Amino acid sequence: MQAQLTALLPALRRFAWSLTQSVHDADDLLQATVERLLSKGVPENVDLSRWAFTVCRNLWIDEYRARKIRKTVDVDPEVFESGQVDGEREVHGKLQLNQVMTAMKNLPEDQHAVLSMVAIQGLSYKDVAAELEIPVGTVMSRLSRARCKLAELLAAG
Amino acid sequence: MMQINDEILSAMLDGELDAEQIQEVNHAMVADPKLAARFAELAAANASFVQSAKMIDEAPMPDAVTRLLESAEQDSNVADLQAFRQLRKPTHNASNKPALRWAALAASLALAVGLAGGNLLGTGSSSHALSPAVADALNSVSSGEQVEIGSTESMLAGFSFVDTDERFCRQFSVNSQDGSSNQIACRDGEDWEQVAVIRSTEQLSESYQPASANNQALDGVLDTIMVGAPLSLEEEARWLD
Repeated sequence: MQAQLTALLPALRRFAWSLTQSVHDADDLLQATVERLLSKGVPENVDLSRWAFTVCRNLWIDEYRARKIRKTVDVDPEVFESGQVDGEREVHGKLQLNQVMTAMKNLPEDQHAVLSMVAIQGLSYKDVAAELEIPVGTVMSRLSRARCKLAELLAAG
Repeated sequence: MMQINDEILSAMLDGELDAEQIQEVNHAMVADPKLAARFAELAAANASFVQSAKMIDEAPMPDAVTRLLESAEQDSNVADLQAFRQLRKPTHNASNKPALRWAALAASLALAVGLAGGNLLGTGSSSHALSPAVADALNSVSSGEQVEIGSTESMLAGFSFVDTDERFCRQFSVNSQDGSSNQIACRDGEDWEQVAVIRSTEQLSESYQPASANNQALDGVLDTIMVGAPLSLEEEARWLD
């Protein structure tokens, strides 16, 4: 499981970032997810990668949302101003990051989660519907509203 | 005809529409530039979100997470070893373990001789010392590397693993003008014990091929003595240090 989990880390980390909008919170969430997976294991007949994302999202809902960490959005200047992202790309990247982070924190949480599950985790509408136990139509409408709001906020920003 | 709204455009982005619906949306966008502009707007917002998430790749993976996985892997090896020993206890004890090991080797080697036309030399129930040059190479060469041993031989390190006696072991092959050998050796203190060797008059290929007939013969030995998966290069480096 360790090897599979190691291979999964970058994707899982992007997903954690998409939920938390902060590198530090994403890394904390990633660590908590890995700890949970290692200590509790994976249920029988469940795909590890699928389960890892579910654990990550549930942890975010249970703990991070409760602590409202995502309200303290920051651009993690020590990461993005330390030369790890350079030149024009840094400027563009920071602008984009700022805009997306600001926009995302204004999204209702149910829309935010669905957008992350489809756009970052890569789940189909049907899979999201099954995972969240909601109709496919609800997935479609939440996703659409999330993108519309995001487009509106990015245009305004 | 379906009503093309933001939900449909969003579903189009996610590849959730069927071929007929895609065609319908495409026709509608050609006819209505506002619809096309709306689709582009949603696509751009989505792309910004996806791209932003990818930016986290620029920041190094936190040490705490990688350490967590590394230590879990070590724990897992220990757990495997303990579980393996527990399973063995009722029927095998330390004194008959070599017999088990060599019985498996004999069975698998018989297969190899038949399949590969090689012949078995230098195996038995007692340990065999390796030449100092090979032992030196085993103490220093990383898996996947090939080194010259003297002027006529070369050694290719296959992979490393930990055996049931918690020893550092290595699979490797030695090639010379006279032929080749596929071997397993384990480090006992400062010395290397040759655990298995299959010789062949054929030259081995440059890379280790687990599925080849010669190497199948070692699988029985590996099944008996190997604990967990082969070591990663990082884990191997720690043993080599």
